[in-house]
Amino acid sequence: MSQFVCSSVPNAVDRETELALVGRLREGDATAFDAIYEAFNVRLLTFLVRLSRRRDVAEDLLDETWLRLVKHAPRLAEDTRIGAWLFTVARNLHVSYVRSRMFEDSASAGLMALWPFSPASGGSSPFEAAAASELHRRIEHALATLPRMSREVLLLVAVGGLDHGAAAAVSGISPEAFRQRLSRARAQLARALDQDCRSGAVRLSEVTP
Amino acid sequence: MTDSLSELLADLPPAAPDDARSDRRRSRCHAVLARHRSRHVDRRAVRRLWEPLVAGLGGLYVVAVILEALQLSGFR
Repeated sequence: MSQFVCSSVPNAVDRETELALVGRLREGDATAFDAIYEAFNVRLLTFLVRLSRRRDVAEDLLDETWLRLVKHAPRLAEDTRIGAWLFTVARNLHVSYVRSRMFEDSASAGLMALWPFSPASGGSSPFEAAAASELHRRIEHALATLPRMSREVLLLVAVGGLDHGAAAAVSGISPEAFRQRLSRARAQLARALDQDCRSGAVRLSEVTP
Repeated sequence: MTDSLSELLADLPPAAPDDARSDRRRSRCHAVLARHRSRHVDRRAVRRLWEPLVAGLGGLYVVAVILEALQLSGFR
């Protein structure tokens, strides 16, 4: 089964709707839960898959994240920012997992080459689809080679759609420290992409006369 | 460069959820919520009974105190 799909992620809910949903969730309303689930499940799964680099681990952490939400539902504050709350729990569960399993960033980087990636769809031509797929593969690979904390900040902003303040709170650091970490992570990603590009060029020169 | 990198990251395809597992997850969460809801309803029912009971007992106590006071002061 492919890891990723080429469909759009449902939009996060606006603040007014979010407050209403939190209010209903506190009373145990299953339809409110379903609405929150629809809005955040794919984002959370994408965040956890790219952060952990393992589908099975991501699914387990996702189960636990949603269970924590419903168990904690009656005690949620009325003004809870549900997206930030969910990403904080997911992120903390991943940190606990890494600590408990002593999962080293470098240990599984090589596994990325074995990952299946779905072909891009919706492109206007097969060539564009292939190019987009190749670009996605390169970014995925570059992202996987980054240290966990760098991946985390990049994913919180790009996949989670959180603003810098909320993402900093999720990571448990100050907004200024977050901005610095994000800037460093972007530079690392750019370097990794550049290296991937150069090694691709070397491979190409090896097979072309 | 940083903006284009962010756009590239945001454009990456999202992970494909496993529908069967997603349904199981949702069912478990609904079950937990149903337990919360029933507890919430129970608590409301108890509060609905408890409050008039306390008010009634309080009223009886006040009446008893007044009667006792009247008796002591010789009005009865």
